Amino acid sequence: MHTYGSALALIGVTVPDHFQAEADVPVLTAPQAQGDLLIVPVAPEGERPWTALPDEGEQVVHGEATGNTHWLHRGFDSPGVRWVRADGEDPLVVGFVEVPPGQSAMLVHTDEHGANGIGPGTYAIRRKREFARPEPQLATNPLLRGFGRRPDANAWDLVWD
Amino acid sequence: MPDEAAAPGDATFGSAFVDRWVRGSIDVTPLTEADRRGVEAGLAALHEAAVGHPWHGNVVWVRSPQELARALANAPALMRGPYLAVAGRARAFRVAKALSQGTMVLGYAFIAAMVAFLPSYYAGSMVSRAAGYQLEGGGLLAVVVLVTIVTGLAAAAVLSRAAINSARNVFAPIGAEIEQTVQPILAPGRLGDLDVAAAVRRRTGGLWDERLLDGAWTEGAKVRGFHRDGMLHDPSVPGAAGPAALRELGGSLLLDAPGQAVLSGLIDVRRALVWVPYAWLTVVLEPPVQMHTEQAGEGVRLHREDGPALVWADGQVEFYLHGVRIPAELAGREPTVRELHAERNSEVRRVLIEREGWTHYISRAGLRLVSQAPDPGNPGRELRLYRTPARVFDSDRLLLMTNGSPDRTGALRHYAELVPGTLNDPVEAAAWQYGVPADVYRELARRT
Repeated sequence: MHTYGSALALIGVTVPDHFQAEADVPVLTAPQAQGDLLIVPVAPEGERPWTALPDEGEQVVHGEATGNTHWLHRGFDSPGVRWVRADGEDPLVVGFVEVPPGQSAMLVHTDEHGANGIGPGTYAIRRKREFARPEPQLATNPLLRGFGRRPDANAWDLVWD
Repeated sequence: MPDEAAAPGDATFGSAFVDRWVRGSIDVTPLTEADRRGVEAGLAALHEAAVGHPWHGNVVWVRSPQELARALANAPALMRGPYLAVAGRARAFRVAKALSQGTMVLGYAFIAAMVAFLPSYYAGSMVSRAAGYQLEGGGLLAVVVLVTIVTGLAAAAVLSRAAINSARNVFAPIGAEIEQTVQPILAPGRLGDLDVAAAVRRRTGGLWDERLLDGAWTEGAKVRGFHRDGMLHDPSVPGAAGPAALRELGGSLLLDAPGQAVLSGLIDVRRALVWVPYAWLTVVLEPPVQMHTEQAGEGVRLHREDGPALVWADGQVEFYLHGVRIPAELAGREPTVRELHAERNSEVRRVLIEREGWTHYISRAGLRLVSQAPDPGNPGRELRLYRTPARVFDSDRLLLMTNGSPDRTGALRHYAELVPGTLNDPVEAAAWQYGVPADVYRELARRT
């Protein structure tokens, strides 16, 4: 079984001071979260263009501004772990992982969030979204659009105000 | 010829070069006279390559953004002298050009006065009718002269504007021309797997602020400014790092002699911080006296908790928290809740709140708790959903969460994010963030 120290050794990072290197990393098949990533089991529908995970792992999310890098690795004796980056059909899905029976995979965060062990199954790795204020509907009548200093005002707003 | 160890595929050379280059980008050593001469020589090379005219030699050195703004607003006045300061026939030509523009202005004013003269008679007769008796010659003349002057001046002000503007075209900003000249030279920059220009941009992209050009005098053409690693208005324009690395390796750049001169010019100019080129003027901003930064992932950004992040040579100070510029009046102390809510910029509001902590802000501002629930997969922690004050945030629901793992200081960090106002259940709100049904989120086994 992986410990946090052995998981970080996979990506060539030493254990940050505030973590215990010997802490066990449980291998789970239920949904689990690592910071702004969520690992959710999904139905293994259809054939995806899987690729085998390389020895050095894969950077699932690489935050340039925040240094927020999540690495996906194979667990011990797990040559069959495959992964595919999402095609952007659902913007919140980063990619999919497939772990064959008896094997495991590791999602490791370089800085803050430690490591998560992933048991056999097919999973989607989802990321978090931010709330964005919905764009105001612009008035479609060109005579009313831009009336006054409020481009989103319509005639009723003008009467009401 | 470079030896085998420094072949263009060599990653250690590339990353060492990027480190060295980024140190140059945030270097704040005061400029010596020799540095200034070097920068001016570089500017001259760039100017001559871009516009084809001889270098004007008119460099205005400024010590801070406030001096930069003043110099840029005053650009026409700073350019007039050097424009006319040539000898012989060239001077006569330029003076004549200025005069002809001036004559145009005078001509417009004359036409305006003529136009104004005609209705002035009508104004005289109106005054006569209003007064009830015929004006004498002197009275009529006074009305005519007054009306002519007033309307003539107003019309001249409007009409001569066009003439003055056309005269000012001589002084236009030339950043776009220089950009076009340097673009093809900056294009290459790959050393094997490492894209040097992109690596430098990732490291230093957060340092530069287009705001420096606000209020710059312009005539038609947009004002462009250059900084040490590219251009102020367009973060996608690469700096000189790529071709400089290739040249240092002795690689072939396929550059002709003028191209080499432009590249050397771009490297020389890096001792300055920012420069803004006009046809007859280049304004150069010297580096600050102090620049405090922090590392955020790969990037460098301006940050200082206990004072100004930027101190300029003339005493101007600027405050930054995690790369976000903070108004000076809010920087030195904890802002009141009223001030936080009055802040229009959501980024500024966020870093100010995060400096004190979200829980601290929530209790201080007295946000109303909508509901709370245990955080699935994060034993002992809670998700709390708050209602935000009206017209401050973009949404009226704020979700307060706790990290699954301690941060580098060993503390468990609380943080809050906005969620749609239609949600009333904190677990539903957390599930919305990941785009999964709340039932899936409730099954969460572990959070790290």
